[in-house]
Amino acid sequence: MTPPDTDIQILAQLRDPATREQGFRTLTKRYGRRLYWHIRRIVVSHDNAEDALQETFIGIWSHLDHFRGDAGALQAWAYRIATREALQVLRRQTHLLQSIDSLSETLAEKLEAETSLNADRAATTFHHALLKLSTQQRIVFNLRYFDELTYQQIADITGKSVCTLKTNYHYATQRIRQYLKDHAT
Amino acid sequence: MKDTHQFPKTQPYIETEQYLDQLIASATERAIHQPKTAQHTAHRRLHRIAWAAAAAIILLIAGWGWHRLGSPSDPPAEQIVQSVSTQQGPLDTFLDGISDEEAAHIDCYKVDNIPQY
Repeated sequence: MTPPDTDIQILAQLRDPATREQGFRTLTKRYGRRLYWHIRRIVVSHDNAEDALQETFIGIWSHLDHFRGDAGALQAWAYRIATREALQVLRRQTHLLQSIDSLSETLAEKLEAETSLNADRAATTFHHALLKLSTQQRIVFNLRYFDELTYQQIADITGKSVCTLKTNYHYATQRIRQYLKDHAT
Repeated sequence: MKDTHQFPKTQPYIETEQYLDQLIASATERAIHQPKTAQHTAHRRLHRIAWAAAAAIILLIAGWGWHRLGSPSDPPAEQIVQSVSTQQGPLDTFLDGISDEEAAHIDCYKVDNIPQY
């Protein structure tokens, strides 16, 4: 049987108990890398990214029966679960009443510790700039810039309005540009 | 996105594509064969404990504040003072028995029959 290459086919497999496991394997193969990098860009730590990805897959598999959307909503649904799991990881690193936005320095240290020795210095500086954004701005920026999702798709993932997302993205790019200017070598 | 074309898109991390494919495959199989409720139950339990602890702390603080400010059923402070001041001990009885004129001439060091109280 030819493996499905569209979300419509994947969804059809997921909805049939006989082919559910195969459909899930195809889903994770199709979106796994994107979900991993999306999570990694939020949590920074490799170990945390692995854990969050595992939780994401468990969440998707456990809640397949609850997914009521069409094939077009499948990607957003997977990203939503991944985002939630990544944010859970950050919340576990905070004290009661402490905002996850206050983790910026901690995440910057992790970034420095886990950066490849061969990494492009410009890319590293750029990722440091991203960590200066608020968590929401960072997520929106990542989804738009790295994942190249439309604002409507990002709205489906985050639950925010398109206008809010455009504002987030605009301010994020301004702050990144300023950071890069201040840290230009 | 034309205003951000100069930003780099490479990730500064070390994961290779092969590593990621293996990670994804093993995470997929683990998710399929994971007992359906175990990990989620553990997480939800932790959440519940955390929220219960937060609620307990808030209740403690609220209770302490309530106690300090006094509950509505407590009588006003003046009534409490008044009720204490109307309690008559042996010393009060003795002192009440001294007239103002006599009190003007009493040298405390000479008074040696004050009842124990």
